[in-house]
Amino acid sequence: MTLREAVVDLGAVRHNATALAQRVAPARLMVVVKADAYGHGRVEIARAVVAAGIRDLGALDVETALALREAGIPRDVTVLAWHHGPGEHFGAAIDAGVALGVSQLSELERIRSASSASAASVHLKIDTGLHRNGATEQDWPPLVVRAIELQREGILRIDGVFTHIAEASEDEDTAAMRRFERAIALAESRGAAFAVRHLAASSAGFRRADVRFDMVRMGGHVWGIPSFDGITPEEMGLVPALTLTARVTHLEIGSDDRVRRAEVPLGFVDGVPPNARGRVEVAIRGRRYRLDGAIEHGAFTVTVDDVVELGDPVTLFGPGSHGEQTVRQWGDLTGTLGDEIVARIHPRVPRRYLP
Amino acid sequence: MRVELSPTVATREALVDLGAVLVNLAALRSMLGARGVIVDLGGDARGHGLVPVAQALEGAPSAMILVDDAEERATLADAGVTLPIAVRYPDPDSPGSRDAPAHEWRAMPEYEPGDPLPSGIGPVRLGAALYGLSARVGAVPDARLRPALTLRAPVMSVKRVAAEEGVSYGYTYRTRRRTTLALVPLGYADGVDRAAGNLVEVLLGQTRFTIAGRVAMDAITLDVGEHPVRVGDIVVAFGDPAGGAPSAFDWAAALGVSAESIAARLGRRVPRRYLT
Repeated sequence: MTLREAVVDLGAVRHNATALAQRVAPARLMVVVKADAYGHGRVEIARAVVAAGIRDLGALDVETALALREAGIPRDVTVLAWHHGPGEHFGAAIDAGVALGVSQLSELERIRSASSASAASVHLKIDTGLHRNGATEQDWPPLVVRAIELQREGILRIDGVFTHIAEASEDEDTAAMRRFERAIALAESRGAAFAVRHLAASSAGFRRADVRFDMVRMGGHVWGIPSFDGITPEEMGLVPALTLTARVTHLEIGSDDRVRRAEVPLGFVDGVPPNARGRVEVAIRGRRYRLDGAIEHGAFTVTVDDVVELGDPVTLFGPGSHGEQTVRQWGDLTGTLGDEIVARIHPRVPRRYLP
Repeated sequence: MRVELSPTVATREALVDLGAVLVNLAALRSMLGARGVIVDLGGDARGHGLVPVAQALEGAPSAMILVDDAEERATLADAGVTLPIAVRYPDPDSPGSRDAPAHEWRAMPEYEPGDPLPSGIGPVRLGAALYGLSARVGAVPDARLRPALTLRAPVMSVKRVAAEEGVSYGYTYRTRRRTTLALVPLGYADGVDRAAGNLVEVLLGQTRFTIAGRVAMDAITLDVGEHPVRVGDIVVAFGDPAGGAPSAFDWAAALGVSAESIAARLGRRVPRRYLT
């Protein structure tokens, strides 16, 4: 093996996608591959889940969506982008058959100006309380009315309606769902029809049948990272897909020869949380060692015993099959989400894919 | 560094002022007297971009470049960098690495302004200070150095909301009055720590605002009150405090990490743009 690597088990990804798709059925599962599939590799993950039968991919932005199309994700797989900078002009996206999430009138007008030969597939987005993108209650009726006008002109096709919830509490999510239903009813009263309604992401979508509507969007669960507390991937029927490893590059041997300090070439640049010192453990030869040394930009050190040798593989996190912790545990122990840790694994850590 | 806040920024970007790196190198050299220097460009020059930084240093008197691994060395060699290049973490399987481990780097502490000069006559290793940063938690900026990197993005959308409304995941922030929220496409996948929510300030126009609510993977939200704001307005997350922006040191102090780690952990989907 190389100096350091992130091994991604595509079999685990396919297994998780299949299990989650069954869980949310009859709703569809959209696999969200934004941020390079949370560091797992957007193209490889997209191909794997499409092979497992997934027909909807969430891309976040047009750049990601176009990269998926260029990598050969076929047109019968929906690729949705909804996070648009003010400079995005949508022409290439419409030509490539990318579905566009639309939150503001200005985005509709840019779609109108895109002068594409084909009609844009549009999912209208309502803000139901998270207050990021999505039209406010005041802006929703004019957005719907304008979209219907542009549909009549053949500029676009209204295919879906969606929102994103805050997961502040079950009651808050229920309140958001009621706002979603009211927004849909209002739009339908103006003449809109939505084939795909979607609201829920990993956490609520896994737990609550009533929030699933026609589709559930999931990222973390698909690579085996539970998004809510008190449950292991195994209990959810999921397998963590990514294993982060490196090899011991130096051993400093102490005075009594049994205590050694191993240098491991993964630092905070590579994605080790800077506050992980003293909080997490790594596994070497199936045994756990507390990460007790300094975390520098390119390496950390860890106190080990005389079992460990130069060149030994060190596993930071993975599915647990070599005695290591999971990234969900690393997230809990460092005060964040496993999602943040994997999304910040640097591209200089080579990804290796198990088929 | 004078960063022109032009209204044409289409997406998030990191501006890297290579002139600041050269100014910092010169300032550090003057602190070191006759001692030679080794410039540590490991970790993609701490997120500043390995090749552009190395190329900027080619004309400056540097003894040697230190990188993290053989791949970084090959990248510099391919780019035509002619300075001698040493590798800090050689592959344990590469020929000779077991016989001649890179002991010298481990025994060579990174020099920062104010440190006593390392003993001996050999060269001194320069790392975070080259970028106007520090590798140490709790450090304060040295007035002789300039931060080289600015992280910024345009406002993506603006909305009016009522009082008592929750913002972002978990509703960890609630508006106190009827207000304007601005969405900025910088999230933890870009390098804004998830822990920065409700804690760290950014600059919009000439005014600083604390990130409202949780940092998401792809965005933060600002509660700007009645402050005028339009889609496309530029938000500076951190940069040169001389221009009013928070610095990486401000972020580091709030988050309990080093200023170096703030820049070095920027996501690769943030395009780097170079000012010379």
